[in-house]
Amino acid sequence: MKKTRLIVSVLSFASIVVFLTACSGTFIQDPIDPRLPKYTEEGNDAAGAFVNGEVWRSVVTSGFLNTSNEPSIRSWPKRDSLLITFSGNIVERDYTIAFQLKGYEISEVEDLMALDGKKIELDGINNAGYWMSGYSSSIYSNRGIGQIYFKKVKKIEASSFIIISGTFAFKITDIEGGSIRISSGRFDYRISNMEVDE
Amino acid sequence: MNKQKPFPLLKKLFHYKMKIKKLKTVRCPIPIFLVTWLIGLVGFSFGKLHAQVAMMAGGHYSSIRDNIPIQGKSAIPGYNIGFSLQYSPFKGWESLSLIHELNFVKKGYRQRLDKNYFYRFNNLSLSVLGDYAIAKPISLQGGIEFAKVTSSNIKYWKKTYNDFDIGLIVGINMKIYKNLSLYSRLTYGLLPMLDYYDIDEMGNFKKEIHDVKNITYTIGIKLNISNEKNKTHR
Repeated sequence: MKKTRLIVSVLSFASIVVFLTACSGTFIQDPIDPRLPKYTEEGNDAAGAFVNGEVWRSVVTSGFLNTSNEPSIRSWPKRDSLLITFSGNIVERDYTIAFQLKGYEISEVEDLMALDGKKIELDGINNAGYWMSGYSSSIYSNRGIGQIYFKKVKKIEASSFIIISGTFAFKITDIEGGSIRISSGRFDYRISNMEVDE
Repeated sequence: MNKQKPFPLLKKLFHYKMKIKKLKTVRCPIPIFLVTWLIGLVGFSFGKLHAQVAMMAGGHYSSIRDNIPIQGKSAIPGYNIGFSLQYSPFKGWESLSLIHELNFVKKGYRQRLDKNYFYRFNNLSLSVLGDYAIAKPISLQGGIEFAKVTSSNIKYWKKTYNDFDIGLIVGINMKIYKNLSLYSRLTYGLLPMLDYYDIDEMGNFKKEIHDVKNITYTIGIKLNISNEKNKTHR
């Protein structure tokens, strides 16, 4: 009887672990450059780019109590402004890549479909790319110039999320005046919610 | 009212074209394997021929050919192990024989970037070779190989690489002892392992690519385990 109870407990615990870790991202290595994730449109919850030759990677990982490297989308409908943030790492250090976009009238997750197939020029005025150390959202002074391409944005009918997949690259000046070049960027995330501000 | 369909012949042609297109996209060409082996078996039984069954094993260097290009690629060593069945199906042409082989082949390549990245693909291959004896201990071989990737060291490899390849084989075989022969051959993969995109540094999709083909150079030994009397020199 004790043995059965123990087996049931172990199985229950294993099920909870499996459930909690089931949402982690999948890093499928790129067949041309294995340091980066392959470009996919499956909602693998992964992204990657070269930052001045170093590899920045983002894979969503779910633990018992927290989820790390989850992308965040924040919208200001009144200002018609959208901020998309990807969190990742270079080796052990946390870095964030963000994009500010204007003029797409996005106020809820389903509106992201408007980005499908859009190649957006980051002109540093209306649209811009950002590179930040850590998860700080305060340093938005330097605005990156380049492009972000939402090659595929699709809704998965069976579930409540939207998959956004695409590529990006931009150049930005850091606080000390040096140049940061972000290239060969690609992302493939599942988005199920977004923050809406006034 | 009976409506007559316009251009029925064109429609039929289109239908067949679509059928052919569908056939081309078959990813697991089991029929090709079966047909190859059936041809061999029919040929073998038809002639009531003396056959030689042999065990074979070899080492090789395998790499890839690419147009993309893949930076820092180089060849890696691998091995193959398997069986072969050799018989002479043509009466009066004893110097000409057919060989059917079933091999486990470890192919792949290495990419040197910030560190070494190894790409290893375990293949199950079926080959059909023609063997022409040019002199007493030496024969030339040529044929075709059908290889199916069964596993790899790459995580999620099935999401990236094609699992089937057809290759051309050219080689030479030399008898070095009673039951033992040495073979050397080049296998030239014809089908792309990769269907992907050529993406530039800015993230523009330049084109779809169907690239990365195998190339393998093998040296091995073959041990005849069923040495029935064969009219060829072996």
